[in-house]
Amino acid sequence: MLGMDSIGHRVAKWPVLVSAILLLVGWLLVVRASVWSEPGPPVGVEDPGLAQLRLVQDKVQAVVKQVMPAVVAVVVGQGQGSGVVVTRDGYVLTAGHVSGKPGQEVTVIFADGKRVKGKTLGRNPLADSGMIKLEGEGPYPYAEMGDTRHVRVGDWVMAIGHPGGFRPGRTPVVRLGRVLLVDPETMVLTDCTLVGGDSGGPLFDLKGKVIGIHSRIGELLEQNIHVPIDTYRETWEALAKGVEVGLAYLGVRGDEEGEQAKILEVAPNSPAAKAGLQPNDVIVSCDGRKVSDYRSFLHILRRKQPGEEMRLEVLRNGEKVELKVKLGKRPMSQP
Amino acid sequence: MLRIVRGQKVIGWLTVVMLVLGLAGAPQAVRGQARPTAKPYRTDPTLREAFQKAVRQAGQSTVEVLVNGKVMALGAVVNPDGYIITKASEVKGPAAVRLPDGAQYQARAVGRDEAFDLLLLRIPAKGLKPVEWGSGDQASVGTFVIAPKPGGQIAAVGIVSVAARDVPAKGPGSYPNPNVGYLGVTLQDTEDGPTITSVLEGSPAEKAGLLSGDVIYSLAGQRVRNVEGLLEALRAYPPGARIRVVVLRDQEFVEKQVTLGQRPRNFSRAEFQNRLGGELSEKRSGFPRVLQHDAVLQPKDCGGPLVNLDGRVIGINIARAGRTESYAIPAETVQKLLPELMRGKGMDGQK
Repeated sequence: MLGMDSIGHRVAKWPVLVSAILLLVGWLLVVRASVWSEPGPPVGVEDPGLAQLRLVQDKVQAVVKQVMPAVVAVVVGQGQGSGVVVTRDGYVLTAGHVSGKPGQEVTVIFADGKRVKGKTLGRNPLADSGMIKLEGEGPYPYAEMGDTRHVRVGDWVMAIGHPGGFRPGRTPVVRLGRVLLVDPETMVLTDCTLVGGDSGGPLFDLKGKVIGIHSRIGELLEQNIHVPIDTYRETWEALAKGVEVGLAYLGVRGDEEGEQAKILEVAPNSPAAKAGLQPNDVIVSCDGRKVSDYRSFLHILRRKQPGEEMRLEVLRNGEKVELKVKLGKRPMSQP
Repeated sequence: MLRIVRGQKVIGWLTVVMLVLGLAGAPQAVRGQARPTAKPYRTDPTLREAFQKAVRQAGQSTVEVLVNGKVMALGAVVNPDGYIITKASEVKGPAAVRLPDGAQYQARAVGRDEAFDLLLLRIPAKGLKPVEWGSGDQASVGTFVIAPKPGGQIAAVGIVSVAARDVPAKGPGSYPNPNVGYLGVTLQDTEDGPTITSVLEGSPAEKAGLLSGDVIYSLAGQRVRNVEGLLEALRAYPPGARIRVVVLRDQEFVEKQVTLGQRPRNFSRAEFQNRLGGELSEKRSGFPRVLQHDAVLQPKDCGGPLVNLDGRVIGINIARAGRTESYAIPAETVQKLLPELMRGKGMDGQK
């Protein structure tokens, strides 16, 4: 067998012969390539569009191999969903409506059929995030968490999960799509088709990072919604401790498009109604912090707990009104 | 109320009904608005153009299969002497085949495989362009797949979702069809035939007096030999149909009249979600070996080739099975079946 050294040696000794051989080999490669690759297009003149698809395909295939061991089916009581292990010691991300109440016994099934017991931890019913801890310390195969800030509309992504629940002999099912829309606070929308049983499964970018968790679907095939991964990172400690977050309930609907934090509707008998909030009130500050628009108000509200008090300053008919609201617990039928 | 998304500019808003996924609990319908800001890749014109290049050749081997002048399925040319493979259950009646150049021929059924739902047709034409087979068994997850139409337009694109696999008979993997009569029993194949293992409470079977342990012998006069056959026979009757069921009970024939019912609601949720986004094939389960992909086929796009980026045919599309899944029979499996089909497999007793 010739090593690199011996080839180098020959090159030095027989430069002319070697060049001739290289030329011959080169000619063979160029001329024969089209014959070898029939009936495909000749090598080197591939259509750029097709070449780009091939690049995507290569990446998808590589990511699938890399992340598949971390994707699990989640069995909670009679229900089944999906999930993904994101730490070596066995923390599993899933959807809040899959993990349900904290402290439940669950079984997860890995792609190779291996079953491991675990317990549900905290959840956020509003964001639909949930967490599970597998028994013991592992080591478990895991996938890395990405960053919602780096997710761009148009990015290629892959949804993996167990549509219809776990089926013996079927590996977790992979679907391809692109990011159609990102709202870092609430959702990533893709055209990776999802269906019942996929809930809680991971959405991967082409680097193999988890950027979302499957949550819900719309009527159309391109309406597939994933919980943004940052939600999990921001609430990690609470979820890991088994706390339910995002339950604070005010009972208003505001103008998410406008430049002011304007209240459009107040639910009857809600904490907002009891505190005297009215439609057309414009919130200008909350607990002494200035509120620029309704979305920044939601940002504060989402991080509150039921029972907490909030001091609101609102503009009503051009006059400033101070209100004190005691937040309630979100009715579970309305996430 | 869950706001699906905010929009900076209000253009092209869609109102959608959002459903929480998952098998447990009732579906939660949430109204919201969404404004997609990128095109789904399957309809992106630039990408479609690229995909189209990959199937230019395979499109010349793709045909339409017509019954009573209506296109019911696609087909693939498997031999220059007029042999066409297609999806059997979509071709109910004398078939015609339309080639990519528009020429139309009456076709003769040559062979049929029930399990794979494949039908081999022959038309009196020569010099056809057969498909260039690739490997379905070796197509790895993530491989782009394209379903061409005759001539090379695109019916659907997607990727391989699950590598080619053997599916155990009767294995889970089928979605119950709500439009067919419902009996309300669980069944198992035994030496005696399809045997009832349990009768669901309040089901049509219970009302008719069927018991666990009964072996179903015939359905509306049609002899059934196994669970698959029974389900096949049952498929012909809608909810509300009254049919005669003969069972073997303690080695004696017992006859019962059953009024078929509607599948109960707990089945309908998965079914409902799976129908979001398009129609499903009538026969979409029971194939012994499949390659699963996520191209969004229409039922009438089945029967034709599934092609990779190299232009090779890696399978024959056989079913649109759910919102997320389509099935193809891997190329190797089809090729193995072809000689038998050419010899007339499955055509006994037919003229």
